Amino acid sequence: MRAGFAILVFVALATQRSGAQEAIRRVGVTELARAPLSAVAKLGVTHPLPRIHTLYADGRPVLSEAGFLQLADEGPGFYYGALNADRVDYARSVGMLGTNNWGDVESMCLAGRVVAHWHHAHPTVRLGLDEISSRWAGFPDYDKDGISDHLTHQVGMNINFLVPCSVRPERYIHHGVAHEGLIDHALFIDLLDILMEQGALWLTTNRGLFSLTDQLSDSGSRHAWQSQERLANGYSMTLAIPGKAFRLVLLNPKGDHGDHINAMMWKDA
Amino acid sequence: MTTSMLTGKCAASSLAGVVLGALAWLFLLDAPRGNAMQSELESGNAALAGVSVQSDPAPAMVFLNGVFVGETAQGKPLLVVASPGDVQLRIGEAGRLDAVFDTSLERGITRSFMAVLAATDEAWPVPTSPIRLSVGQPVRGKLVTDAAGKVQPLRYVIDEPAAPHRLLTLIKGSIGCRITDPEGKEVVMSRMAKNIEGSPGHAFYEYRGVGAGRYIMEITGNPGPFSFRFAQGLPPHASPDKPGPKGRREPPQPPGG
Repeated sequence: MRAGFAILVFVALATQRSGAQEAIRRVGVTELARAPLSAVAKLGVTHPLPRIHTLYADGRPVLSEAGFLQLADEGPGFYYGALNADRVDYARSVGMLGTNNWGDVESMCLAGRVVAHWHHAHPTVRLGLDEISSRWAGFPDYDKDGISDHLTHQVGMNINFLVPCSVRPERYIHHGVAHEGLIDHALFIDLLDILMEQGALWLTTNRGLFSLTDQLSDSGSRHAWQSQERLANGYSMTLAIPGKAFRLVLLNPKGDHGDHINAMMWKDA
Repeated sequence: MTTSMLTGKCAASSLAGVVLGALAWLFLLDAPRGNAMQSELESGNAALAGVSVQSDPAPAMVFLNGVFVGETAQGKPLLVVASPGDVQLRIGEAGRLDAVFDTSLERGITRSFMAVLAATDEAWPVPTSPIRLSVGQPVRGKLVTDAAGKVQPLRYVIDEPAAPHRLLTLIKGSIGCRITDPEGKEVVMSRMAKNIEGSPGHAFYEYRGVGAGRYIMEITGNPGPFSFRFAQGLPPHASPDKPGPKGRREPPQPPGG
């Protein structure tokens, strides 16, 4: 009987809905078709491509209280940098795992495109994606001094991409500490190019990572670089593309910024 | 037994009969429909509706009732199966125009939409003020001048359900922001970096609210486009009397890298 009443109420509500007018507030979207829902369809989301963020079993993205997406542990073409075999024990010991891999929706989508292009170009080399933000925004305090560890990485838009190694792609490189002579320069330059092409607004890395500071245009990059500007803490370079706000910042070697490219994922219109 | 008592009994009996009859009718009516419902449930299709979104020429993010559900791919649609009913659908490409519209998902039907993503002047809309912000929402707008040449500030509403909290914004454009708390007092903001690691035109603000309630964020500055992100939260380690981020610094590294 309850089901009968429920049906009557549902029919009444459905009738009301069918009379509702759609209010399109902005242009750009048209409806192509209406078709019966597939009988096999379940509640959830079917993604056209693999995603770099975590999903519930039904395909819905996992979202934090701050609306952030969480980087998955691994997927086609990428892995979570804290799980790098050379440092996972350390990452676990300071409580890093799962606490620094939350990012802004738009930025994570852009990073997903970077990974997709990287995977297409280098199917055998996984890209290491490391620190982003905490799930509430801000960044954790791993050294327990009560202060967030980073100036960037606060709003889920800065994503660290680990530098590829020439002998073992996923070997952890830390400039001034270990393995800095093993950087794969060709892959490194290609990563810079892909990041710029797919949506990073600016990149920050360590000058000491490669010896091409003054000759970036001759490095094999697909783009022409110009206007080197001296900063208090390094150099800044831009692209010779009118209207493109992209900027590459090369920090002076300090031994503490050598293992990654800090990419701010914010695409200009 | 009086006549009136007999009449009352008859009336009661008649009423009971009508009620029982109605119940029996509903029961009979319910049986086949209930079976059909059960059949649909078993097929996984009961009370569900679909929306399929494609975009051209670039991938687009799709939000249903303000919640991110996924991203289209080049020429490939995102399929979302959801409960039928009125929904707000937002389709947007990073850095470009958002399309937001109200529509209705129909039971048993998949509605397919195509979003054409073009860079136009509408990429920098002049929103009607005030606008309510949600966490993580990228905001883009354009400051314009009135007939007298005076810049018209834009006001955004931030409803905070709880305290303490920390609010973060990253602003791009030649603008500044001023925030008032639920008591109408201006919130003290710390401007963390005018030029974040050498990137001009960006400002990152951190500020702490005094409690739950409505905060008003006012954007002023030079005419032209601007954009900002808004996040909130309080990392578990932090407390309101601690200073802000200490800057670019790596945690200690394991020996040997």
